[in-house]
Amino acid sequence: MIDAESVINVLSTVSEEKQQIVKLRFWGDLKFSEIAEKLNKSEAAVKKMFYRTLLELKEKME
Amino acid sequence: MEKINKIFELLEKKTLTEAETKLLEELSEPDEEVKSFIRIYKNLNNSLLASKHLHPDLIASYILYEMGDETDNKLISVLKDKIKSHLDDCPSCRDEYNVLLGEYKNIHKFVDQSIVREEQTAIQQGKNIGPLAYKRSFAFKYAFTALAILLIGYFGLFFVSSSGIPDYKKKIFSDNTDDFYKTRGRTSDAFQHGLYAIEKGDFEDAIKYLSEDIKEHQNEKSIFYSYYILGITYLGHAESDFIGLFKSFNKEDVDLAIVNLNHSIEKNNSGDYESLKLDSYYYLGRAYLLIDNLDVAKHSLQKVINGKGRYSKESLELIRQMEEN
Repeated sequence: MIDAESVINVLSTVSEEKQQIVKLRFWGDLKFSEIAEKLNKSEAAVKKMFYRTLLELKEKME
Repeated sequence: MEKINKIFELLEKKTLTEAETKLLEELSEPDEEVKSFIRIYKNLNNSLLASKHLHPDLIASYILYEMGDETDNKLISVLKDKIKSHLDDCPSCRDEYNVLLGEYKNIHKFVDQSIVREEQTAIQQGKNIGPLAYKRSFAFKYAFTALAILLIGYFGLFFVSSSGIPDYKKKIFSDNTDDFYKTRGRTSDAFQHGLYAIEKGDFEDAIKYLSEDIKEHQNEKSIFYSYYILGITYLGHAESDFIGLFKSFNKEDVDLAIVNLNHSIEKNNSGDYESLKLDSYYYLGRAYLLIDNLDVAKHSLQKVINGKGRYSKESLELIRQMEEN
């Protein structure tokens, strides 16, 4: 398991919007439809951004 | 798209049944990138939720929000009730909150005192604050007038520059970019770097990475998708303007866009991605429009319409605009 501090450090290097989506999902336990509603975006756009952000984080952590 | 939506649906669940776990594995099986996504999702889920306590960063942001310093923090505005409720129930997080709040108040007190000291020093030195404020107000009026003149000039030029460009050369990229996160099996680092660069609007880097991907993986079946993205990227790179005015297109970039889009069509021959082939024809049509090769542009756009591609409506509209001009 990756430690939370490393995740937070890497997360702080991506855009504010991407951080919000990841934090709302994991810390807020919000569903993607709820995140989309709160951020005034389409659900597909949120999922897309989430998907790519996670791959970006993975790459930065490797 | 259906598959990825199902994966998201399963990941949203707190616990999975044995059958659902198996389904998740099956859905990710043929695709390394999706497998990688699921792995990192599970890792993050475990590490960010492991402590069961609020992270100090989150508490600090909550304090700034509460004190009116960061009222536009969307994350906190959504989570504030959850955070408050957790703080009410968790003594450990409440202690952390109190420590951070104490630090916040100390900093504020120090800053306030420093400002008062500076003002008092200015008064003691006999500085005349009244006329200074008056002069500032005048300066503001001049600045405002100058800005207004600049804006009027800018919008005038904008009107002139826009009216000189035919409609079919404007707004090359469709609003529907949802499809962009599908990678069609392209998992190489260079391809991923290319996509990130496009997202940041750095077309030069994107071209560098996508070209590298093509060079290194020439024989892969899915390489047509890198050609497709590279073609579109060249179109983005071709566009230039002067402070948003007098749009022009670099012919060399447009030519490279055409070459890559044609490669994308040639190499997309598995029969699995026919709709993407039509997308290539659409952007090919747009590229030919930019260099005023209207006959070839029309021919490409007509293919999109005949094949009922997803840009059929846009293609019809472009042909209509061409015929009007």
